[in-house]
Amino acid sequence: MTNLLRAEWRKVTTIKLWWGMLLGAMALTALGVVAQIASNGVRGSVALPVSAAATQKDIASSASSAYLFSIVVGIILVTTEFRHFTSRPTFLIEPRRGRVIVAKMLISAVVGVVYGVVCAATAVAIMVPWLAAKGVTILWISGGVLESLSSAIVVIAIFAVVGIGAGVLVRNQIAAVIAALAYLFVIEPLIQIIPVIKNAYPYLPGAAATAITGGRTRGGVSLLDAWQGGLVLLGYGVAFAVAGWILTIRRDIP
Amino acid sequence: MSAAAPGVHGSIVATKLTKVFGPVRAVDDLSFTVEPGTVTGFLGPNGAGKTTTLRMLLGLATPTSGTGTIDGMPYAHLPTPGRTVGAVLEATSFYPGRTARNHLRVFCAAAGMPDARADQVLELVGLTPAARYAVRGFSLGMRQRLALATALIGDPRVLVLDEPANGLDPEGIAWLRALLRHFAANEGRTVLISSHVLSEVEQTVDRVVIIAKGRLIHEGALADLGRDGAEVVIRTPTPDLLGAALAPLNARLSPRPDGSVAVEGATPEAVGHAAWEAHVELHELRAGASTLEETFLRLTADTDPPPSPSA
Repeated sequence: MTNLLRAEWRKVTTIKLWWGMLLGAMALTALGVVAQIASNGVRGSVALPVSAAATQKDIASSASSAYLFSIVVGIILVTTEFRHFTSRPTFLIEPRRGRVIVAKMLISAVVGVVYGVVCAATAVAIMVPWLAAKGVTILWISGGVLESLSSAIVVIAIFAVVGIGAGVLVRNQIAAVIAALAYLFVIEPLIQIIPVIKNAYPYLPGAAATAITGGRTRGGVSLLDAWQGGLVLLGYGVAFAVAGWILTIRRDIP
Repeated sequence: MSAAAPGVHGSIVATKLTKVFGPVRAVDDLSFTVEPGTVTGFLGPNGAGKTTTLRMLLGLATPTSGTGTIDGMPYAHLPTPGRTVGAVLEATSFYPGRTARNHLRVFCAAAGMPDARADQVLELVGLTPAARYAVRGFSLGMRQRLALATALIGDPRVLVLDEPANGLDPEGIAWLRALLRHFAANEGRTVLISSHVLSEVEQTVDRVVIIAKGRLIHEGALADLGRDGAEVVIRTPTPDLLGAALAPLNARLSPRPDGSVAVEGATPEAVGHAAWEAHVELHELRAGASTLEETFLRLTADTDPPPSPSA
């Protein structure tokens, strides 16, 4: 397993994708932080002032939007193997294909943690001097800012694992990325407004992710506790990977 | 760990291998053996089932029935497959943005080999000057060399190469030939190479396994294959007279597409003498006319079904 982990780590660090996606994640985080601080107090703004704990938590939570990039990175780490046929040498050297998938999930989680830490640091780097200039004290512990940052890291890391599962299930790279983003942005919000399945809503991936970052309700539906959300989201990653293993990976490798 | 049975060390054995894709029997009850110390050519026209067979032997595809073994066990059961078998299935298994050296280092890590091995195999295939370039810019020949380097990472006893000469220039083919001969003859490794052109591997292989339509056509020493063919080709305006003149020789005559006649079972001297005695006019008489390639084409063409209008 050590050999596989080393190999998978090298696959990530020897291509440019990894940096490009990280820059994208940082930019998205920065955008969220800047937009929230800049718009605060503007006439018509409904947010509490930046001195309020709730607002500071929301600003810090901007880092969690980087999950969009981490799920895509996870998907690409798997699907690129099939797209460029590196799946062949990979599975020739390790014919026990399940172990390769497990190694990918572990490495993707590490990549997700790195993305999460960098994005949390990005949020901190912007909000600390800006709020200091406004003369506002950051409520790191008492206001839960630190908790928001750490839960953002967890969400980003788990989505990186979910990306591996999604990529194993849908081996076509473009299809997998589009399906994942379409689900998170279009399909899940639609499910939220369908009355019949509202009860199941807290168990969907996006709602579970919101629960991890401390959201209690979304669209009037109560969400899970943070730890439950984490387990549910991770469960999706594992379930996708197992389904993908049964449906595709254990069959013929292209 | 149980010791491998004697005689199977390094050998590749296909036993009644069959692979069915929907209505198509891509590989049909195929059995053959590849021994260590030889270069075996795995030959057949395009679409004969060569790649599918290799993929089953390498554990990438599951046989519909039958078994393929290396060292006496299915590929997936090999204790260290990356160090036992090196394989190339088409030279396209690269991430375009990764450098040659990094590509090799990824698989050095996977196979548990030191990073220095990446530089060694680059040197071995003559790609050292290109080590730090992204594979994106590589020619087909360079990709073939890099694919071979990937296969050699684990210093394998068994090499399986699918169409390795594709994209190589004549110099590259000569180099590959010398390398594979050295592996088999001097180092006792097992080498199996596929090709759809016999002449491409004719000077490299000791043995051949020829398939067509997924079925075994011929298995044996390359030398046996040549004897199978016609020995004399003649051209005459009066083929009937010639047939009568050659009747005492018990030779088999068959018309060739270009209007000449192939004679099997007689020497050029005997044919020439018989024609002269019978006053049969000859416009051409040549020996050894049936090249291995012609024999190969004849063997594999025999199995072609008549063209179907629905196809």
